[in-house]
Amino acid sequence: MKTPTRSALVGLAVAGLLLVSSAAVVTAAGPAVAGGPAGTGVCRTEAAAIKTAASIGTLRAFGDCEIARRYVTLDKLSAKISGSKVLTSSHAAALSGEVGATKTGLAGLKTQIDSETSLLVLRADVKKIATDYRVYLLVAPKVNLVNGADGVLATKATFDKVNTALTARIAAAKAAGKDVAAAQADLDAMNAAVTQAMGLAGPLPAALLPLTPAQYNSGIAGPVLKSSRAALVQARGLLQSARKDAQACRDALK
Amino acid sequence: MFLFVAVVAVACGRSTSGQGTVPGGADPVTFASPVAATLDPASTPVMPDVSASPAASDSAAPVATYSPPSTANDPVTGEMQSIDQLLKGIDGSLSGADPGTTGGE
Repeated sequence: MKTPTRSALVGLAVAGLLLVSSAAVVTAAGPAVAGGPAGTGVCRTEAAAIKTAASIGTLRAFGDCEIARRYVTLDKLSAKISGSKVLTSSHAAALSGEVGATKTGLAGLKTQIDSETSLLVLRADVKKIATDYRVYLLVAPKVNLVNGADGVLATKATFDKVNTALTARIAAAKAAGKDVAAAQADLDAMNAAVTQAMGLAGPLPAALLPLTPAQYNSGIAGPVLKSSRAALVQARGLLQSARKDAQACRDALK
Repeated sequence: MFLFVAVVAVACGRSTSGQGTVPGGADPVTFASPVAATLDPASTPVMPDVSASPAASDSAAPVATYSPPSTANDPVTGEMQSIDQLLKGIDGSLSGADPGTTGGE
């Protein structure tokens, strides 16, 4: 027969095990270096090695892996910038400059990491991979949001051509005695949506391009990125609506 | 008798072509032939052919007709496709701007 004291002891032991287990899970899910790179994806193995035994070797391997991961991302961003059909030349130049400077900075940091002999300093250097460059939280979103904003602005010329063609078509239909009220309303709705979308996207590049990793770290850049993305989502929705309006106008004239 | 011949000659000369000479007259009298003038296109007055000119007719103005181009031949179709491509690009940018899709810092 179990005594109450014995049952209580077993219960406490189980609870203790659960607590230890939970703590281990939290540690495993957190970054390998506090405030530093995430240690997920391709660098998961290196991140796990630090947690098992943090040493100069494991920390350096992790840092090199995270820098290499960022090089891949930055190269993809460079390709996106150079291949973009919508980025203005000045925006493309600014973004290319930023991506290039980030790569150069990371290359310098890698040299430091590869030659560092102090575990404490090395840990601080590895943390800088994230905090000094913000490749994933700032640079990549910035490139994409500016490209998206320029994409919205690039639709204006095309919608203008559609407007010209449909205006002429409405005039011809009207001269032929056709009721064009619905077509005209659709065309007006298209133009209104396009104007609104341009108003949303227009200011985004100027707001996004100057943002720095330091501004991200101080909490300034994050809200700008978030609101810019929301504006771009809204602009995209307006353009989709404008496209439907153009189609409706066209159909009304058949 | 002479006077009669002269009058007849003058009268005939006006109605026929050529140069007439009044017998016994001092100077030859030259006059244009109305027949020749009638045959000359340059001097023929041109009368407008009312029946041949629709503008001059009293019929109503032509009615305008409207026929939209077929979708295949419609330039708007091409513009719509361009817009679709641009919208796809914007979608891609939005996806790339999502920190959750880039692997995390």
